Amino acid sequence: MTPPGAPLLELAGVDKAFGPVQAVEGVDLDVRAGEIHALIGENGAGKSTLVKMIAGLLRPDRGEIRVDGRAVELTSRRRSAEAGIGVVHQHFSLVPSFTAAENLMLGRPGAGRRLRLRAAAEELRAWGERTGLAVDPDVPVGRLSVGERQRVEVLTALAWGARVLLLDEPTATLSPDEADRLLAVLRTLADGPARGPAGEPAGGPGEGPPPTSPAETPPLGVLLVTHKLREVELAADRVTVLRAGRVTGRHARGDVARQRLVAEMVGEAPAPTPRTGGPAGEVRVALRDAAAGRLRRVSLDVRAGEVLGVAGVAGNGQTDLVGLLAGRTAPESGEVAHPVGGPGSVAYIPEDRARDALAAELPVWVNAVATRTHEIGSWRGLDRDRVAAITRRAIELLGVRPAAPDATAAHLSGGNQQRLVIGRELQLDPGLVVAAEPTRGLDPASARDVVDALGRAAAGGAAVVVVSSDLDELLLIADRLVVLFEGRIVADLPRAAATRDAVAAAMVGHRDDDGDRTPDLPAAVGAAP
Amino acid sequence: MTVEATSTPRGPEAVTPAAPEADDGRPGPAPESPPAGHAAGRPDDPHTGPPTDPAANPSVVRAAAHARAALATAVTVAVPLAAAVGVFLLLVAAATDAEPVPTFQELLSSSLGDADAVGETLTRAVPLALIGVGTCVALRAGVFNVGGEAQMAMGSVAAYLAVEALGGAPAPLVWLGGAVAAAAGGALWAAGPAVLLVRRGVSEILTTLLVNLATVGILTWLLQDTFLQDPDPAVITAQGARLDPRLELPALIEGTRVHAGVLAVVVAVAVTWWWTRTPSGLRVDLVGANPRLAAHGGVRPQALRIRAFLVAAAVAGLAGAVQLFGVSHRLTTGLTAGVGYSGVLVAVLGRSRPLPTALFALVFAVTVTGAEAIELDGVPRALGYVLQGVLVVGVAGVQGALAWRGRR
Repeated sequence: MTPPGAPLLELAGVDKAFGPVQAVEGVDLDVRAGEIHALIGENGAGKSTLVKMIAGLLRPDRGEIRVDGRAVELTSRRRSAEAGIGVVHQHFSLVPSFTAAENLMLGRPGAGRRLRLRAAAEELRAWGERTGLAVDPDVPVGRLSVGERQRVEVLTALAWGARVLLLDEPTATLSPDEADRLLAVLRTLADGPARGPAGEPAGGPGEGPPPTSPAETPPLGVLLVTHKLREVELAADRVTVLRAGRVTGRHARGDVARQRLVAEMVGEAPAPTPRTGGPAGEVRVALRDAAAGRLRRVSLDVRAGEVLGVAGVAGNGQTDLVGLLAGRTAPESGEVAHPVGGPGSVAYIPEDRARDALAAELPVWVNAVATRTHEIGSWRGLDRDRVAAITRRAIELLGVRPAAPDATAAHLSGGNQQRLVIGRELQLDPGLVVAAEPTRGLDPASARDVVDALGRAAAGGAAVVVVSSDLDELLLIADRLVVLFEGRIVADLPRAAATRDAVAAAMVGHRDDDGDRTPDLPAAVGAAP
Repeated sequence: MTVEATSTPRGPEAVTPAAPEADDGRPGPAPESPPAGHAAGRPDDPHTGPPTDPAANPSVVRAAAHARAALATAVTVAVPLAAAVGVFLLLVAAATDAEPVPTFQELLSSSLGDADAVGETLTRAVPLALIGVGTCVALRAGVFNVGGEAQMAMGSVAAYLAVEALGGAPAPLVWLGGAVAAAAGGALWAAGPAVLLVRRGVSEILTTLLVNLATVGILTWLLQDTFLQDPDPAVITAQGARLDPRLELPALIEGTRVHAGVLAVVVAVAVTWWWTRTPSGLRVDLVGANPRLAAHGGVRPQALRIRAFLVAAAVAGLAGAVQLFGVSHRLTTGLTAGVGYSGVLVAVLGRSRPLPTALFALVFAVTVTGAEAIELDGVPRALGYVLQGVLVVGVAGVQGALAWRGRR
């Protein structure tokens, strides 16, 4: 392993308060060249605040941020980029209607007046080849999958000449294999020394900061913000634990047990209750040769009382399947039948909660009753007792904090917005639950609450469909697992047969009957140098 | 990307809005006490504050939120008003021979000084407030209808056709028929843009503006080349015949021009205010804020959008009828006089809430009435519009600044 170099990025005694709330307090942190430094913590621990301060979106109240030992004022995204910090955000900051190449040029430090799109596309291709994170640079990024959009962000940061790469929950949207591959890429980037597209200086000809030739480029520093302990164990050289805005632990690779990290994060070990599946009841939703978008001729029954897990690499038809199951989209061919109940009895937890399931500028209580406006009053006015009762249940199911119904939903943190949406959907007593990535971005304790709530819904007689890229979570919760690959169901496994290996193999296109992992899978990160 | 206001939701105050979003005139549910059950299992839960924290008391939080919202609203109105007055005084001093302060006093006294002045101001405020309140409904659904000008003009034409059709019926009946016809006429004039919006996704801003342009020509043609032209052979310009005096709306205050149309504004404000507090109003807000979420709740966003669009247009048409019966007493090409556009502005200034919108309509009416008076002193009337302009820019600026501060 490359010996850790000098600190590239340092935070010294950084404070940040929002009103009376101290979000971050006295945080010291440094990232050195050649290392992957993991920053872990629960939702609301202050990780996002730190990320935003480093990205130039927020300014610290006190303390210093140093780059190469010199104090810097990161007053804007651009300043941060110019200082050599590349940020891959959890909610991507790409313009959906722009291509990857156009996004690369947008706000590029020192880009000059001419828009060299072709050169930018070439650069992206070269970086893609170099890192194994290939994307099509000429397609609007809005048409790319979430995983591909993330690649664009990583490649953009590299092409902009980042020396510190900051990734905020980067694996939340990836399949296990994709996640491992990304971690492997990060390892390579941190180790150096060969950087930059082969034979071509980074930054393109005649523009940007001084082009760096691959041989003399120092290794990168990587700051990996996550709450997945597995990644910390696999990839991190050092780890800093954050809790309620303060650093509660610092460890070097291998000198800390998982239990200790968890205790430092949440003060207790998260232990999701393993599900004991009951007998499945009547069919609640049935697909017959249904096709839509990327989904091709899929047949599937989901029964009352069962939790059906849907695994698959992002972009293999999950979005379309969710739309069909939830009754949000009509099939292009084939049939979808919801034998019991209409859309009102379907709890729908879409993948992108903020975009599809939340009215951010409206108060929390309006969001809580948004799916039940037909039962909360008449032209004579709202039934305030009923509104209050529904709101209370939606808030309490997963403990939205703060429990302030009159505040706008935009004032809740990302994790609490999710809790509100999931709480609203599950308190309906639904006949069918369709949940896409229900625990994405949640800390372990909240994730456990969500998994438990889904289990309770099934126990209460609902048919539950969970689409997730977190294979461990699926294996934990599902009574039955189907795997999507290129728009088809390539495996339908009962709980007993759904091993990690079997599912992972199916996710890359192997049918049930040939369970071997393909030889061209990237080596796991643990096996890297 | 989404901007999170806080990352450490330790105390509820963290989310008390800095911008006046919470003051949306809706009844909130009763304050919730923080659920104890969830946090009980986690004594170290960072989401809950210490029990002694006054910020944990919901009623305190609620009161603080309301106080802040009220303060923010006051700032949103006071700062732009002060800025507008300041700019006005500066311009008068710099660009005219008049004395700034007396000129401003003259502006106020000629628009608010006596019954006559107040009457004139109210008369001007009526169509403005009507269109503004109608626009509120459309804005809440996310529809930006700038076709008030044409819809109002066509409303007045439809009202006049109703007058012709109803002949010698009693005046109240004719007014009622005129109002219904005007509303229908206004809505009809928005039907094209509405269909294009939901079927083809054509921006309603573009289509309604184009309809406005076309309507100028259509109106001139109607009043010059058809039976709608004043039959008096001396009249060669585009104008209609004078109404039978018995069909003029009665004055509300004796000796002034204020007519009974003010009552229409009162009714419109009251109905809209009430409607915003019903499930139906909530659904329209949801469609405007997030149509996908609304659709998940069983609402058909496009249908609701069309309805909100047509309601706004119908109210604009109604404003045309009120103007015909109450002020102009005949069809003219200048009957609308730009209130179709100003009405959108006052609705935006009033943040799509009916009562503030009506109040801003009054402020606009003051500037217009006052500006006409000071013109007699050699101060250009355009300065009145400068007042309006600075007001709009100021309100937008303050709202932007508050939103920015709330996120930073």
